[in-house]
Amino acid sequence: MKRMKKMLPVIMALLISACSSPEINRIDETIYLRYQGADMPAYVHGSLINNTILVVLHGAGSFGLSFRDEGFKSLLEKDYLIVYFDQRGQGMSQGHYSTPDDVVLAMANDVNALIKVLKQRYGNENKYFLMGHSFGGAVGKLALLSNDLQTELAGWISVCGAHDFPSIAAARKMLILDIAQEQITSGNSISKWEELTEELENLDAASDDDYTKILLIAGTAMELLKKDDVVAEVDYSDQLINTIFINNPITWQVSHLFNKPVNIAITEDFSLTGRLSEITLPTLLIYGKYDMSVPYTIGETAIDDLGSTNKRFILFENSMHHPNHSESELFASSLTNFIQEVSE
Amino acid sequence: MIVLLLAALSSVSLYARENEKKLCYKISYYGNNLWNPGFNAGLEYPYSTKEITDRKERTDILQSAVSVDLAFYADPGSHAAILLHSGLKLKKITENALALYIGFSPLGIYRSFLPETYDVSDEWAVTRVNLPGRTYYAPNISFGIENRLSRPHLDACFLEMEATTLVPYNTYAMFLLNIKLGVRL
Repeated sequence: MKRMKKMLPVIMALLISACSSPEINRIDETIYLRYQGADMPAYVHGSLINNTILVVLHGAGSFGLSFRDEGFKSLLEKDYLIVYFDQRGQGMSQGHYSTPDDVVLAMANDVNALIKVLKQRYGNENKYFLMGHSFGGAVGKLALLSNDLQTELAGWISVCGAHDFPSIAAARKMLILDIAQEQITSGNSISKWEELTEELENLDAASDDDYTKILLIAGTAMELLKKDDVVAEVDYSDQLINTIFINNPITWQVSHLFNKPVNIAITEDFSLTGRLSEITLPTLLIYGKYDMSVPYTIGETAIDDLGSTNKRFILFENSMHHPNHSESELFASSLTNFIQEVSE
Repeated sequence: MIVLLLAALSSVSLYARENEKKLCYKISYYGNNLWNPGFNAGLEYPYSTKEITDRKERTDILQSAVSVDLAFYADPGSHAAILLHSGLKLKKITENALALYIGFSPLGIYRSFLPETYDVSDEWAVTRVNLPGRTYYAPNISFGIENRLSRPHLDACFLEMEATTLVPYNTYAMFLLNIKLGVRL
């Protein structure tokens, strides 16, 4: 009986927490888009309290839910409905279809189809924002330029977004050299950075053979930045859970093995540089200062070329290719400020 | 494919009634890609048994069996699926009641079940899909180990790894690595 009395407060607390009302307008569901032979999951989490929906396009070899870390869950999903989309041939998407003649365009058309589905499912009255990361930035920009999608959206957010693959290798080489100089001046891993600089100066960014070598040097450089605490540390626990238990790692990796659209974009010199002026939506560009995958200089050029009158560029000072993970609070506030301003 | 599988299933069942003692029923936990939870039920009929004695006078049994399996699993958050497959198993049963086996099931079919799905036409018309999911040809290979138990109504317990290919999946194929942990009745 005494033990029961001791347990009573605990039981009461559990009952009260179980009876507390769920978050108003909270949505947690998975829907699929079937389009052109592919069945593609959209993981929908968050709130429609502000009648705002943000569609997230992942980068190369990734998956929608890779974005769903604590920053998204606790900061963005409480205000917005976030749609984490697994693109064609990626993540958990399935179906059967022939390889499209233009893979990137097919993926861009999928985005248009997804917006149509979301408008039917959640209503046309909501404001829709599109966000693309890295290669998803290229897919998103092409989507904006196809099928009149810009008229359906309130804004566009590009996170470390690519749009001009022929220029990336040269920009990557220049950025690593600049970072090396900065780190040598700061006294960080001097001999290592000098070695990388010497190695890099002998490589030709225009050569296909040297493209991979520059990428490998970028990998070493990123490790040095992490070792010297130049970039913010990332907590990967949420990603790990999403990767293993929701986005099945075997399915994800086998899909990636057979479908590498970014390789097609690289070999076919995919570029939208000449068409950026056609993007007139309010636009937010976010880049990481130490991102050697898609250097921020690509975004600096893009911001001038964009046709939008409402456009801004934010450089995350302590981030590499995933500012959403490394500076999640700043990332969430940047998005929130942009969405609020555009929505007013 | 479905007709062939059903034919195999019915022929094994028919044989079961005629050869009550030889037919085995299997039930097991089915872990799709190791940990997506599921359940497997199957039939196994050994149609050929041969004793072999090695130089050390140990006698092993080589057994060939026909098997039919029906599995279900749920991949939380994205889909569920059922698999039906039929094939052959080759077992080497040792004197100490352990058996190693390999299996090949060329007749396999897989059906995924998806949550709410919307189809978008070439003209951008959106319609809801009834019973969404996809069907794939799903042959598999397997290998396993079983421990023969001399208990009434419990013939053996087993652990099996199964590699299934789904074709055509997206533009090529998909591989699944499944695990079965169960008993043969």
